[in-house]
Amino acid sequence: MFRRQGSAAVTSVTPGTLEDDPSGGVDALRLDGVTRTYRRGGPAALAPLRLAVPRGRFLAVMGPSGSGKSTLLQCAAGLDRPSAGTVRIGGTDIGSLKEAALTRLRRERVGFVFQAHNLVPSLSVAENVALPLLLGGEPDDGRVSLGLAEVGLGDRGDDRPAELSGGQQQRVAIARALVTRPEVVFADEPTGALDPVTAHGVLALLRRAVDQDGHTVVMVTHDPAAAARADEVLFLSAGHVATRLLQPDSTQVHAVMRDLGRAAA
Amino acid sequence: MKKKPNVTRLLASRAARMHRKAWAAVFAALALTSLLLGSFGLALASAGLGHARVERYAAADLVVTGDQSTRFTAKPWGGDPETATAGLTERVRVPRAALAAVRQVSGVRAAVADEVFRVGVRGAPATGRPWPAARLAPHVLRDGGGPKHAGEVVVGGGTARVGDRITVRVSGTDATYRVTGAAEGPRAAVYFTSAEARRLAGHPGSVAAIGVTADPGTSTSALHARVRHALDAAGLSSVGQRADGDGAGLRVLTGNGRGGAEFLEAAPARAGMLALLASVAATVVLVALLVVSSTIVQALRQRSRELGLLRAVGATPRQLRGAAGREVGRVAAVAALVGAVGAIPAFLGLRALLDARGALPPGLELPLPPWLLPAPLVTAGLTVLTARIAALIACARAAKARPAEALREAAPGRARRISGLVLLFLGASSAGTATLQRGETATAAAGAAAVVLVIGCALLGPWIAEGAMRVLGAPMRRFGGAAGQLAAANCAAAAGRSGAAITPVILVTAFVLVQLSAGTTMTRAADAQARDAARADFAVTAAGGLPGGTLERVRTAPGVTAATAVTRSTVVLARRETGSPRLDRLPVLGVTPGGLARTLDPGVRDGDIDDLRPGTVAVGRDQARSLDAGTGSTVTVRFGDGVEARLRVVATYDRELALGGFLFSHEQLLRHTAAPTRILVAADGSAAGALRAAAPGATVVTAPASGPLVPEDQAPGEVVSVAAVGAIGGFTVIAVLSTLCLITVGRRPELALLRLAGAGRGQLRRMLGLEAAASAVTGLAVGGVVALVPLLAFGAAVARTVPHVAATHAGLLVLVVAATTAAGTFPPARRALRGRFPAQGR
Ligand SMILES: Nc1ncnc2c1ncn2[C@@H]1O[C@H](COP(=O)(O)OP(=O)(O)O)[C@@H](O)[C@H]1O
Ligand SMILES: [Mg+2]
Repeated sequence: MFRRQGSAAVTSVTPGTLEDDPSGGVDALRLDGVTRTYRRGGPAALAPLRLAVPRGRFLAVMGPSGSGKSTLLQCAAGLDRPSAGTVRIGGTDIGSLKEAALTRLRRERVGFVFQAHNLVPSLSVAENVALPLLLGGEPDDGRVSLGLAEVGLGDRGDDRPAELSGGQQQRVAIARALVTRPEVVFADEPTGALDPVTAHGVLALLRRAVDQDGHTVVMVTHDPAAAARADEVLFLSAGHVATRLLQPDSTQVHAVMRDLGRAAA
Repeated sequence: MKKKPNVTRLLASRAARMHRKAWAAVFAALALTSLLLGSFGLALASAGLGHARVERYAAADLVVTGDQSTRFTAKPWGGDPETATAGLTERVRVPRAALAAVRQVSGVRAAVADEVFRVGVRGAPATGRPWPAARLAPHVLRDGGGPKHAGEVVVGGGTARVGDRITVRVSGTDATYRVTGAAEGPRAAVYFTSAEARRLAGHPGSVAAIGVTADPGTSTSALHARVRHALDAAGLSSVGQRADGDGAGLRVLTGNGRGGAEFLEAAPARAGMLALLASVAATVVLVALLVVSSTIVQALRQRSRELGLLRAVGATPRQLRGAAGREVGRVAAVAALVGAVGAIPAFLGLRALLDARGALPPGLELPLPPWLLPAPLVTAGLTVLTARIAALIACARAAKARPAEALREAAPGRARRISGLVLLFLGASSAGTATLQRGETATAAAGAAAVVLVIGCALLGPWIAEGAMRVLGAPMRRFGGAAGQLAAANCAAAAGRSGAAITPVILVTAFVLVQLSAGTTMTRAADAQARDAARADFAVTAAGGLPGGTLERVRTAPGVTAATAVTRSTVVLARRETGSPRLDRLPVLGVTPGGLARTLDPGVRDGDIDDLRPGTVAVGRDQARSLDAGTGSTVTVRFGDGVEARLRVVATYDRELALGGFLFSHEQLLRHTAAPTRILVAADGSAAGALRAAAPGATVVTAPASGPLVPEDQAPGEVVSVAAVGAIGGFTVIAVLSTLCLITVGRRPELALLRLAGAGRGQLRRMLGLEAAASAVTGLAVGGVVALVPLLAFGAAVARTVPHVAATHAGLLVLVVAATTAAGTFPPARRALRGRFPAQGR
């Protein structure tokens, strides 16, 4: 079941964000000079950006709304094409991939959790989790029920998404994001629509995926408490990296966010 | 890899169950498509198989006739020579020598000369034939015996008793005959001895047809070959001087073909009907494609977010297309099957309607053989194919785009705008070509122009919606209160959605207006011309013909100022269209020119109509223009019996919608037609008595009706047009309904959200109402403009008037659009607006 045991110890985190990986290994995610401009001649939603996320890292991305968080995530995850720059996932330059290979990469090496509308309403919960496997024509071999059990929904596999609460739906989405044991899991405000208690549960799942299974997670969030659960927080402002924090706590995060808000105003 | 089909199947089946409501609209559109395609397909096949009924010659093995069709061969630009064929509605006769030639063929038991001529019995029209030909049916004796002498006849059963003496009028001459027998078969029939029939028919050198019976044991096909050979060896061909390249050999008919010798109008009417059905079917197919693809696109667009999600978790475009195609395919298969089953009663209904309106010419059978019954399955297959292609197009964007784009609504692209504009241009120029056509063809061309314009508008829908909101937005905001503000904001923000709502309204408006108005405009213009032309106070007719000299006696009767003998027939005009040969059948009149302006005024523009005599012709203004002819020039026409003539133009006239494109001298037309003559008389009101005295045994009608001269195949055209308007109307109503339903259902969460934000139910209803009204008004206005383009062209060219729309038609259209828009907006929104607690509706 577990490909790699949690080798990345949380205690000694080095800022891998802007420098080359000192260990010489391949980063889970690497962005070089990535920009994104939505309209020709318009402002850049993402300024040239360099970023490396080592394996087993839980990275939070924060910033005022409109600062380019979702854009960063979508470009990094191969959902959108950057206007310039290269994106590498596990060493693979996704800009060089053809349509089919890119799709396979999304299916096998990347997982997603959106803020809402994560599940296909016509499929059952178990089928939703199994979707990447089904799409790839892979056999289930117990991964789906195990994954559902891990998010505490082992008995809800036959239900429809509409019969679950918002937090349960997000847990199903996490189970699906993890089912292929991807290189990186991306989450865009996964707790944005949840109450603090439910949000806590969802974050605990992500944290556990990093600690126990060595997953790499990149999560956009607005919630300083959520960001404080990460190993590192990246602050964006108008498409630029404003600053970053290692081993953050929520008061630090609060302070940076307040400063950024003041600067923007 | 092997399991891939499984996931598409799973997605398709689950989604089809989940989105059953959305698919209901698609189902309805597809079932109707399949039904219409199936029934038009059956109608086309049936008309293709159609033939004249075999009655008179049912017991004959072979029938030898003249060639009842005329041909025109021409070489299109840069192509191989093509030949156009047109049926002839006047009898083409067989030289009498053929009788002897056929009788010498071994295996021929009997060859019977047939004659067919109009007679009047006690003022009622009947058919005169030789008695020996009656046994070709056979119409056997019910009573008495056959005629032995010239003064004896057999009559159709029930007309007269054996031994009676009856007066029979032939070619205006009365004679008395003794009835020796009564025969089965048609009642209005009089059978003479062979010699008497030959004398009365007035063509001593030829016969109408020869019925051949075979010796026992001789096969029909063998006999056919021998008779064919004998006729060819004798070098015999049809009577009459044909055009070059129109070799009119004698025809030897067998089986169902024998009916053609009896019902001469059946074959040309069948050809006309085939062309008409094909053009109507083409329009219906286009509309169906438009409606089916727009409903499917709409149904799938509601789920673009879901498709985007699937893409994000790693579905390939191919898997998405497969799933959507499969899902649509499942719905389409059932819908198409339902429609196919319904197609058979629909076809039978259409046939019954044609029958009831008397729109089918006498003797034309439209068969429905059992092996044709599965034909709608073919059109059902086409329907499924169409649906799957539409599904491909519908999810092409979601499947192709980057997942990040698929997850949000994208602005329509420039390619779409350009193709929309190109189509508008094409539609306008196709409307231009409609001006070069005539009658039903022009209507069809105008319809095609409308289709292209509508597709262009469909592509430009978002921009049209945007433009419309610039106009309608200000008053909505100003007078609509909060609801108006919301509605205006919604329409402006979701231009794509508004465009989708407007398109089917444009479709229904444009189509129905074009279909209805083209016919009405034409009929009104023709009626107006007919009223202007009709100057006569009396009409004189007689079954069995008017006696010789009647016209002169009428002219000199007291109180009469002018009298004109009129007969109608058909001519065939050979022309080239972009080099390809075409033969047009045109209804025409033959008139005696003296005093024509006072009886049937054609509105002479140029030349002198009094010069009309055999060898000359008067030509209508538009016909002259299209033939590039004028007074003094020569035109070539083929008469109804196939004889070609070159005629000098002596006059041109205006009222050709009422009187036809050519006016011949009465004397000339009589040589080529067996149609009856009537005399139109201008006289003071007291002349009726004098007229009866001048034409004994004739019927005198006061203030004769003045309908325009219409081609005989127009009647089925009207029925088919009505069916087409009904079909297109029904289609587009479904399209409006389903599109709006889908849109409204998709907006339920938005409505619930607005309620959560504090909008009252009344406000939301008003908002939806205003949005629907904006769509309806925009659709009606744009549809009106789209219809106007081809209609103006059509009106200017064909009817020479501005297009006319009956107030009732327009009112009905507005009413239907209003009702359908409302039905597509409010009921589907009810769930979101139900109850006092907004969350219930989610
Ligand atoms: N599809 C789009 N078209 C045009 N501009 C966009 C689009 N998506 C985002 N933007 C712009 O890009 C900038 C960054 O957006 P986004 O990444 O969504 O911000 P965040 O997620 O941080 O709130 C914003 O200024 C936003 O307006
Ligand atoms: Mg965002």
